[in-house]
Amino acid sequence: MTSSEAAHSHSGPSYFLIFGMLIVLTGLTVGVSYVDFGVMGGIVVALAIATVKASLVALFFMHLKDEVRSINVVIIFPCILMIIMIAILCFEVF
Amino acid sequence: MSTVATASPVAAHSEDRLPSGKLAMWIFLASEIMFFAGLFSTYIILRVTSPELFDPTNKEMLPVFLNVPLATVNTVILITSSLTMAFAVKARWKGDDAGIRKFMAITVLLGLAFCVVKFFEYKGKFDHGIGPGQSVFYSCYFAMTGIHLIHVVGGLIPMAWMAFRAPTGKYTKNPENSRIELIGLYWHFVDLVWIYLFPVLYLMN
Repeated sequence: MTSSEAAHSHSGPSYFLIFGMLIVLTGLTVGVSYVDFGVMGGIVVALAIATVKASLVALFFMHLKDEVRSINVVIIFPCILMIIMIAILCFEVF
Repeated sequence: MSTVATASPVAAHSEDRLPSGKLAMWIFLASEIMFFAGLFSTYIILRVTSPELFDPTNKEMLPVFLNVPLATVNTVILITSSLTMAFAVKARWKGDDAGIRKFMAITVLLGLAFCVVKFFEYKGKFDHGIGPGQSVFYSCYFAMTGIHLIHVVGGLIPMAWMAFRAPTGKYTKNPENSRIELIGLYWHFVDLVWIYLFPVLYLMN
């Protein structure tokens, strides 16, 4: 058994469960859009729910959960760059 | 990783080995993250610093009529296509050529459905004389959804080819041929971008 086959022995939740959660969260996204959180609040709530959904897709559909650890370098590095970029933009603007 | 490698080079490498194709795809996706982050931060900073540009009562803005039901349908379509893509990848692990073709074909059809819905959405805008030059909001809207749509089409072409070629056994004979997994990663990423686009563009009015 190669390492890739070992990683594919599905121990996590089924794809249908993840799919169901994504659909429920989509409903939630639409639902909370009718609640007034103000401009900043609305953005934060929308991005928070989107991030939960994106994490589900990345961890289970893209199998990041079972991936070898060295992949984190490739993924975490651009995320840090992204945070730096947004932080610089925010300092510039506010 | 280097410390482990010195202790037992062979074992460490076989267990902690990232196939080069997958590494390349993740590096590409990392560059895509930066690309879309630029678009998103432009939009959000415009929105926060110049709320008057996004005021629905603003004359230049025209009444904002983004079609939320259509966009919600498209969200469900894309999430479903991610599910079928996950099954296509699973079929490749099982060496199931017919399964790859079936699930890849369903994914392509769902992707086409997304494009059709998008076409009617754009048509609705153009019929009302609204183009990318209408206002700052519509510039952002057309740029972000348009670039996302190009990504969808860019995924559909190789996916249709793979559905067509799957019965030859091309993707299952050689375990090192990971094209199905790689296009899967790309497609999930396209879904992931839409997950952010949908609330940020459609639901913040």
